[in-house]
Amino acid sequence: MISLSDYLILSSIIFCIGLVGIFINRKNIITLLMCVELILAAVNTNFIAFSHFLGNEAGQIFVFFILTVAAAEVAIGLAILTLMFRNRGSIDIDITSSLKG
Amino acid sequence: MTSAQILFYTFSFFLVASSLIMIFAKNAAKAVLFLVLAFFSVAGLWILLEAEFLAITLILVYVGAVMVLFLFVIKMLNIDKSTLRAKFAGYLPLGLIVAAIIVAEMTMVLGHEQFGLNIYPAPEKASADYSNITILALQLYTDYVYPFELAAVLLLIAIIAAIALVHRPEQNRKKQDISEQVSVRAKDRLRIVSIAKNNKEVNND
Amino acid sequence: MSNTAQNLFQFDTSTLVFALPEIFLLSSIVVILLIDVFLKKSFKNITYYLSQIAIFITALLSYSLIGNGEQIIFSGSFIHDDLAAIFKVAMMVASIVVLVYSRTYLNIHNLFKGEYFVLVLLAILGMMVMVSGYSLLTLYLGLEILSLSLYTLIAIARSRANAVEAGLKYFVLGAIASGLLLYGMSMIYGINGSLNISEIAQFASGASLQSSQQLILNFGLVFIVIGVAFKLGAVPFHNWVPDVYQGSPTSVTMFLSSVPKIAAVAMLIRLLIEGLGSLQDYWSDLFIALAILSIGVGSLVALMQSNIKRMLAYSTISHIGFILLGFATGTMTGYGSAVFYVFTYVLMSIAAFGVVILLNNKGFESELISDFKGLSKRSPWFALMMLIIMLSMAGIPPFIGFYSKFFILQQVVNSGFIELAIIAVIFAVISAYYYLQIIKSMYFDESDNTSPISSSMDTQLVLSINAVLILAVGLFPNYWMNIALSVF
Repeated sequence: MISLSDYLILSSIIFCIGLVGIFINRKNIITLLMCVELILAAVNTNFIAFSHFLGNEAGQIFVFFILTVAAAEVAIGLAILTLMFRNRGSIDIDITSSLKG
Repeated sequence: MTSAQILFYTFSFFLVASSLIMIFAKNAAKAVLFLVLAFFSVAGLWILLEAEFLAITLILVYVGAVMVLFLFVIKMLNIDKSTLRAKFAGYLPLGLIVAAIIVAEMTMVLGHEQFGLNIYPAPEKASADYSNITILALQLYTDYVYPFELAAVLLLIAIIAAIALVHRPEQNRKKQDISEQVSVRAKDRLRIVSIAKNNKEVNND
Repeated sequence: MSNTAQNLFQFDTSTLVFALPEIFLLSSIVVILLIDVFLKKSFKNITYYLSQIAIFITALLSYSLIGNGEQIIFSGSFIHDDLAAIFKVAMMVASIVVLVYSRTYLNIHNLFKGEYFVLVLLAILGMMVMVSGYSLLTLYLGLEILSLSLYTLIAIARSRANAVEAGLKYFVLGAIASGLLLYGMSMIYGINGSLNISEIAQFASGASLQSSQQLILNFGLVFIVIGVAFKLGAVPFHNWVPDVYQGSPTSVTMFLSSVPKIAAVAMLIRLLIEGLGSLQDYWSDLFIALAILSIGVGSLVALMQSNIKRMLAYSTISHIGFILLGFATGTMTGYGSAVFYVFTYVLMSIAAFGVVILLNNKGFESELISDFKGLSKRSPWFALMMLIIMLSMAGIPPFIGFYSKFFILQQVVNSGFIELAIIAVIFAVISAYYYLQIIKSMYFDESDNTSPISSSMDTQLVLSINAVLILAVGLFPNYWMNIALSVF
C-alpha cells in the first residue's frame, strides 16, 4: 500500500523542483510564475494527503481556497506582466537585481 | 504491486518528469504544456486520495482557465522564445546538488518513521454512495462560510485589478452605438441629388 | 462526521456583531465601487470622502467593541479580542492619515481614481481579516487579500515603468513567500489535524507530544517563519523592500511601509505566540538571527543611499529588526514592547513619508536626499517637523523613537541577551548618522530651489498633529506602553 510518507516525499520533490526552477529562471517571469504554481501543487498534494489519512476534510477545504487564491493571483500577475510589456516592449527583468529605472 | 501502487508510481513518474522538463524548457509555451501534463498527473494522484471534486476542479479551473490564460499571454506578447536564459549554467550543478540535499533532508523528516503506514494506517475505502462534493459543500456553507465570503472578496479584487490595470480607455475605438443607429433618419445619410440628363460621368462601379 | 454536521451546525447570528467592522467595511466597499462607476471625472472627490467616512465608521465600530473579552465565532476561524480591536483602530487611524497625505499627490500624478480608493479599502479589509484570523485558513486569506490589493496599487501607475516593475517584483516574491508559508501550514495541519489556532496551541503544548511530532512541528515552523519574515521584509528576505519602496508611487509606498506592518505583527502574534507559543525556544533563535541581520544590514546599507525612499526602506528593515528582537525575548513585556514599537514605527514612518510626499506635490517625483537641501528656508515649519521625525527615528530622547527602542533593549537585557543589546545599540548609533544627514542638509545646505512648499490645509494640520504626537507620546511613554501590554 502507498503510505502517507510516499505522498509527502513526492510533494517535497515537486516543491524542490519548483524552488530550483525559480532559481534558474530568475529572469524569465512567465516560467517563474509557473514554478510558483508547481510549489502550490506540492502544497495542495500535502494538504490532500493529510486530509485523506487523517480522515478530516479541513485539508481539502484549504486546497479549495488555495486554488481560488492562485487563480486570482495569476490573473493579477499576468495583468501586471502585460503592463510591463506595454511599457518596456519586453518582460526581461531580473527579480534579484535592483530596479533598473 | 497492487493497481493503486502502479497508478501511484505512473502518475509520480509523469509528474516529476514533466516538472523537470518544464523548469528547463527554453520555450515558454512548451513549459506551459508540460505544466498541464504535471497537473493532470497531480489530479490523478488526488483521485487516488479520494479527493475527486478537487481533482476535477484542478483540471477544469487550472488547466481549463489558468493555464490557457498563460498560453494566451505568451502568444499575445509573443514571448515564447525566451531571450533571457539566466547566465549561470555554471551554478546549475551546485544548485542541483543543494536541491538534492534538501530533498534528502526533507525525505528524512517526512519518511516512514514519521508518516509510515504503521503510524498512519491507510483509511478504509469510501463506500459506493460516498459523495466527496456533498461533504465539502456541507462544510463550506456551514463551518467555512467566513472564508467562503473572503474568497468572494478575492475574486472581486481580481476583477477590479484586471480592469484597473489593463483596460485602456477608448481611443479611436470603432464601436457600435445602437441608439445612434436607431435614431438615424434617412436625411442624415442619404442625399437626393437631381442629375442632369446628359451627365456622362456615370460611375460603373 | 459529515452526516452529523448537518444536525450539529448551529449559527447564532447575534455573534455576528463581533464581525461588524468587517461586514460594514465590505458593504461600503461594494457601495463605493458602484457609486464610483456613475461619477463623472470631476466628482471623484466624492469617492475619496466616502472612503474616508467608511474607514472612520469602521474605526468607531472597532473601538466600540473593545472590552468584550475573547469571542471566537464562525466555527473558530474568527477571533475578537482586545488585541484585534486595538490593532484595527490603529490601522484605521493610520489609513485615514495616509489618505489625507496622498490626496494632493494623487491629483497631481493622475492617480486620483475610484479604483485606487477601493483597493486601499480592500487592503484594509484584508488586514482586518489577518488581525482577527484564528485559523490558518483565514490568516492566509487575509494575507492574500492584502497582498493582491497591494500588487495592484503599486502597478496602478500604469505608465510608469518603474512602478510596474516594482509591482511585478513584489508580486513574484510575494507569491513565492506565500508558497513557503503554505508549505509550513500544511505541515502544521498535517501533524495536528486542525486548522484552528486554539487547537494547534493545545496540540503543540500537549504533554503527550512525541519527539517525531515535535520534529514535524519544527519543520513546519521554519517555513512559517521564513514566510512571515518575507512579508515583514527581514534580512535575508528583504530583497524586494528597497525596490518596491523606490518604484511604487510615493502614496503607495507610504501606505505599504506603515499599515501592513501592524497586520503582519498581528499575524505573527496569532501564528507564533498564540498558536505555536510552546515552540518559543525554537523560533526565538530564528528571530534573533533575523533581527540582528536586519538591524545590521538596514543600518549599514542605508548609509550608502542617495534616494530618500530607498533610505527609508533600509530604515524600515532595521526597525523590523528591533520588532523581531522584542518578540525574540519571549516574555509578555517583550511582546508588549514589540507591539509598542510597531505602533511608534507606523507613526514615524507615516510622518516621514508625509514630508517626502509634500516635496513631490510639485509635479515631479522628488526622491533624492539632496532635495531636502535648504528646506529650512523654503518651509521652516515642515523642516521642523522633519527634524522631529528624524530625531525620533534615530532614537534620541525625549522623542517616542527613543522609548520604543529603550523598552525593547530593556527586555532584551532582562532576558539575558546583553551582547545582543550591545550590538543593537551600536547599529542604532550608526543609523543615527543618516538621519542626521537629512537634518544637516535641511538646515545647513543651500539650495537653488527656494520656492516655498505649498500644501493643502488638511495635510498641514494632520502632519503637524502627527509630528507633535511623536513628541507628545514621547512625554508619556508609560501610558501608551500599558495599552500595548494590555493586548496580551
